[in-house]
Amino acid sequence: MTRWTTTAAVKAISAVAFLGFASQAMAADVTWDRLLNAQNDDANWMMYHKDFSGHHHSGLKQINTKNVKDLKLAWQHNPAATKRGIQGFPLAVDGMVYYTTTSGTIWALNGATGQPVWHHAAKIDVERAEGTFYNPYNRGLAIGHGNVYMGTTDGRLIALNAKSGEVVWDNEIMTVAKGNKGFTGAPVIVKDMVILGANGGELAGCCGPIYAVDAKSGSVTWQFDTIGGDQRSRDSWGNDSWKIGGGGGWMTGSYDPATNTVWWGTANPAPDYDYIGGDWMNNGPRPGLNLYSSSVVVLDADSGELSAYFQEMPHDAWDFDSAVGEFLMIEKDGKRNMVHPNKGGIIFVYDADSVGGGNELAVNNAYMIGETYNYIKGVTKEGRLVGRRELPEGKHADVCPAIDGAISWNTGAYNPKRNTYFKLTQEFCFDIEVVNPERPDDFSGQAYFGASWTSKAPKQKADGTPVDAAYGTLQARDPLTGKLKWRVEYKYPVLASLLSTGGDLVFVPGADGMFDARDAKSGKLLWQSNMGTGAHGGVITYMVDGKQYVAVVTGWGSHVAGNYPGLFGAPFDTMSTDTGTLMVYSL
Amino acid sequence: MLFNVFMTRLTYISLAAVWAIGLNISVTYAEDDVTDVAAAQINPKYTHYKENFSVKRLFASRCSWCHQGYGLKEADGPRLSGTDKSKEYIIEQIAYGKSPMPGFRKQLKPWQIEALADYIKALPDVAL
Repeated sequence: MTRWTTTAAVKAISAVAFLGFASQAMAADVTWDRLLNAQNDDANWMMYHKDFSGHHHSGLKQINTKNVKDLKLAWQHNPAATKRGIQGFPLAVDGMVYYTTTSGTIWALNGATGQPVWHHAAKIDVERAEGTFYNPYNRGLAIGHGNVYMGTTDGRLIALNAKSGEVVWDNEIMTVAKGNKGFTGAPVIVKDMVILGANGGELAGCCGPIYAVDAKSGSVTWQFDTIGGDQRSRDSWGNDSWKIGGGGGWMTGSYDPATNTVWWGTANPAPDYDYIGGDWMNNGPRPGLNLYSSSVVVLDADSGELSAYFQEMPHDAWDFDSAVGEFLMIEKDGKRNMVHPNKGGIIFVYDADSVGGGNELAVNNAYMIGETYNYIKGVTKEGRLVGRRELPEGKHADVCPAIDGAISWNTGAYNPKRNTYFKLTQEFCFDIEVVNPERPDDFSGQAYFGASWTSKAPKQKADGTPVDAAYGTLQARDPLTGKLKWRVEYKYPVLASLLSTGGDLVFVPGADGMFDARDAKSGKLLWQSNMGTGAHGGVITYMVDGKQYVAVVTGWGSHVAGNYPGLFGAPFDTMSTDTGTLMVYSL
Repeated sequence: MLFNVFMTRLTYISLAAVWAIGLNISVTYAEDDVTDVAAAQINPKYTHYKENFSVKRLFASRCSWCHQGYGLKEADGPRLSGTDKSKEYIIEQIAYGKSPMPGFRKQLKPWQIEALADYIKALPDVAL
């Protein structure tokens, strides 16, 4: 159900286009209809995934394969110290650009000049926020209903007036009573609600909730617990281990208007790793499947009730969770597919219409894109893991990929004209010693791991090809069949998101600070610029006054990035981890 | 004989093989993991708090996310072995943290924090 008509939204969008000016007043008018139809509005980037197709593709083509060589820096904004870089996605609305930096600061800038309009620094409960290792990340915001929304690492959701930056409401959404601590992911607006999920996959707590919050009042409309919320989930955690099972949905999911469902990926169970090995259904720290950890959950948008699910990693023994928030809606031959990448290097293709009743999603296809994996032998087309490599108590050498996964949490991109899905992999492994950890107190929120490890280069690919160094790939595939179209190897695995444009370009913000533009058809490098430091955040494009811009955030430092000095040495051994810049390019 | 064991670079292996006419003698000497050596020094001091206490098990449960190789390898968190910091400083750091490191004073008992500090101080200046 929508409260505004599509016609009204089109009129609003058209009005903005004709005005062609960075009107702050217009920035307040992001209605639900505008968000619902964002796929047709390429001048703006109004939500984390741009629109509900999840393609991270803009039809803008002023910057294209022929002229991208002339792309240059238009302006930049340095927000001062930002620990662990900038990891969020900027949003661009009607000539304004909004972005977040660590510890909950929002900046609103003129999208054409970079001139600051307002900024807001949330006062964080430092003791609570720094009680976890998810601090001080912030991965973005949502805009709509006249407000800008941001979650915080101390469990709050803040609504600011989009024009002035004044606080509209600032509410604690999640208490620490069950061991959860806060939010790091960007919210997404669905109808008159703001949806966001908790972090906590490695914390001895429960229940990793996903919330829908009323956009106007800030009160919770519904809550879905990713673990322990229903009997089926509790029955899948022996010895009541759901009370210390972690869970969560810490990255930004999506919405399918056709079925009125919210699609979200969930975090891994705690403890990471399971000393019991192959007898995990009956024994160990968390006997059973551990639903709905490392799963995709599909929720009724109005009630929050479980409509469908699929556990991508049954009894996740490797921390290869499903929290990647990327859901690509791709229609072909009358079928609606929802494509979702898993950290273990698997792409799952779901039947988007197999929802309702709380049953398992139907899987149309599943395929591996990681290259050096050995934690499984493979995956069936039905999405079932084949040949699991369990990690019982003791030492295990050359387990691939490492805890960091073959796919990180940032997004790929999809060019619909070419039916090409651009996706990154990271190829490194680890030696690990799995231990039997002490069971923490229920709902305590304590760090809860069952291993120590050391990252290292892979020795071979899954097909047996020898490898002598860690590396990364950028792959271009048919998203439904997985057929490889082209592949580019990166010396340093790229950790940032990708951008696809109508100019037949794919933009790649590199780990070493090199920002690449490649030909979508061939992967050929067409343009490159040195941003000065590594990137592991978002990249968008937008238009102001008839001019196309490409905006990317920089800054380095995270759990995954922490492996790079050991794996590669320079330039990562001296790369700053407390700086970051918003860089904006144009012709 | 091939040793392909976990943490090869830190493991001290001494292997001597003597071949003689009609005689094949293989002698293997001690194989010491420096983290095991450090833990063996520390564990007995705390068994009155907990029977069969293992400081490495505690380290793996709480510290491994950032400090790889039981403290021997720099990753998201720094290498801990060979630190010149005092035991008191390390206790303070574990208890209160220093962003982005969390403070563990509400997650760990004082004796557990002290045990971890003792273990870190006992690690030799070895890096992975």
